[in-house]
Amino acid sequence: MAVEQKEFYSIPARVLYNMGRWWLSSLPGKLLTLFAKSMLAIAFMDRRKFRTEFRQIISQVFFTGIEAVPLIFSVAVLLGTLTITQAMTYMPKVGFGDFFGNLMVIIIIRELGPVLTAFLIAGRTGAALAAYLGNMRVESEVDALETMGIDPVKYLVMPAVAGGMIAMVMINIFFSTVAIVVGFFVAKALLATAMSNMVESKLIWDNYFSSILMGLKPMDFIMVIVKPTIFGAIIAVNACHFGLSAQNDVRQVPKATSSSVVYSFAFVVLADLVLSLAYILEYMRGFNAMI
Amino acid sequence: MESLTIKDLCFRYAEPGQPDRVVLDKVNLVVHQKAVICICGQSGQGKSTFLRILAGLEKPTSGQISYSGIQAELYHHNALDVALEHKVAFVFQNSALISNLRVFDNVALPIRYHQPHRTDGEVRDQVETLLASMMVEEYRNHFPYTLSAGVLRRVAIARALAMEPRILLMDEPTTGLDAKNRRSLLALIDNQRSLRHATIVMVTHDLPIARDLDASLCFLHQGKLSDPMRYNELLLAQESHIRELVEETGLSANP
Repeated sequence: MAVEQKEFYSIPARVLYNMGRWWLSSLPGKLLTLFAKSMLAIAFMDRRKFRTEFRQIISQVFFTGIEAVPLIFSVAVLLGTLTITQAMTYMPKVGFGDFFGNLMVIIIIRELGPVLTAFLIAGRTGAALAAYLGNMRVESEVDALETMGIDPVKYLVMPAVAGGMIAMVMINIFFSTVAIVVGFFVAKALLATAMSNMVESKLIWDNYFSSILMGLKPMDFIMVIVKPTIFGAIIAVNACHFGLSAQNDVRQVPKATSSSVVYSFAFVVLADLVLSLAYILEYMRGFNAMI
Repeated sequence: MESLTIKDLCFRYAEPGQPDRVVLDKVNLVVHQKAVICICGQSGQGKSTFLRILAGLEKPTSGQISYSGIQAELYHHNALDVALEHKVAFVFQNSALISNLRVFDNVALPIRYHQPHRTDGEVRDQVETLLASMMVEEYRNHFPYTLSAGVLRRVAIARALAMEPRILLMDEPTTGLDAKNRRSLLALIDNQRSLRHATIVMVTHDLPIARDLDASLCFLHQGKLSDPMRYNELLLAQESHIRELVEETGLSANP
């Protein structure tokens, strides 16, 4: 990188400059800057280029969402079955049989659905995206885009982030639905086979479905959109940042890929924790109202 | 008319814990419109870095660059502005075609992106013309990974020409090509130069290119760029690094 020299004439300007440089050189700063750039690219998208860029977004949705359906479906069925089986065999013993719906809402819809989906997408799509962009960087394809006057943020990052956010919402809803619905029937079949209808007889669809509906809160309907949107943005921005940061060395590509996945996991859990505060605040508000 | 003017261009690398490495030290160069200039020199002398600075892929430490008489703002020097405002296109040594796009779409990419008002038919016609001019039309539906180095290079040139550049920068265009492919590529470049009136700056180890394209040669050595010279002046050069290159190439007084 070339040496740059800046001169400042006042202390506040120098402090601001150094703070700005520190923020922009930190990982959160870089990620947020990339996210902001991609959002600005959407906001100021040239209408005449809409067709080209929309095609990019759709192909990203297809790659992130549609192609991941078999994987998501399998994991959702397994998780749904596992949760329902465990809950049905254990909760009545400790006297919490009536809270079955709440448990499913908390485990599948609120927490494991979005987080597990995010982990799967970070491991599958995020890693692939980071490797793809890293390879593009190593092969000078990103430089080639720039020398053609095509901004890599608009051409590569914006579609990945927009597509990732849209696809994550779709996948999250699909995951929760499959885990709850298909998981129910698989668990019913399993319990019928294994436990001679004793426990299975308690698994009645109407009761199960209505207890889940009773367990849902307004915040859940907001979070079913907000959480995966944020997780999708985290995964895509991480993948783009680490992929595009790979320098002209092929050894950088696997490093970029693993960093993208690891940081995506960490930031998704952190974001989940922060978003959980919304539930705590809602609970506190309800508690205060009761008093 | 001057197509490219470089004045006192400096470029230093800042490496942690080490003194700055001077790559370019007050480099001056004037290239006239439609001229071809070859930047030569031994490996590691900064030829490709020089070309990358001209393309805006690297920011120089100091100096001035003017494209077609318009001086570039070096503090904000970047490839996007250089490509769009100054119509500079770049042909990479490894071709750098977008790997998930077919040959047709690679060439169509800058046209579709910068001229979105054009219909699919107009884009197709222009791309077909460019592919035919570089004799690669039969590969239009191939992905880059299925193509040979020679074809890749031609497609990369076709893609650069799709930008309708005033200045075409080429990094080692003949490296890795056999004699037949090299001859054919140079003939195509020469043809396109006369058709499109573009100025060409290329980095090469292949000194006879200067003879084949009637180009001038400049030698980059230890950060300094020599004055342009013609191919037939090579054997008269006194500088040891130029003489070494001439000897390595096996040039003689009667080429």
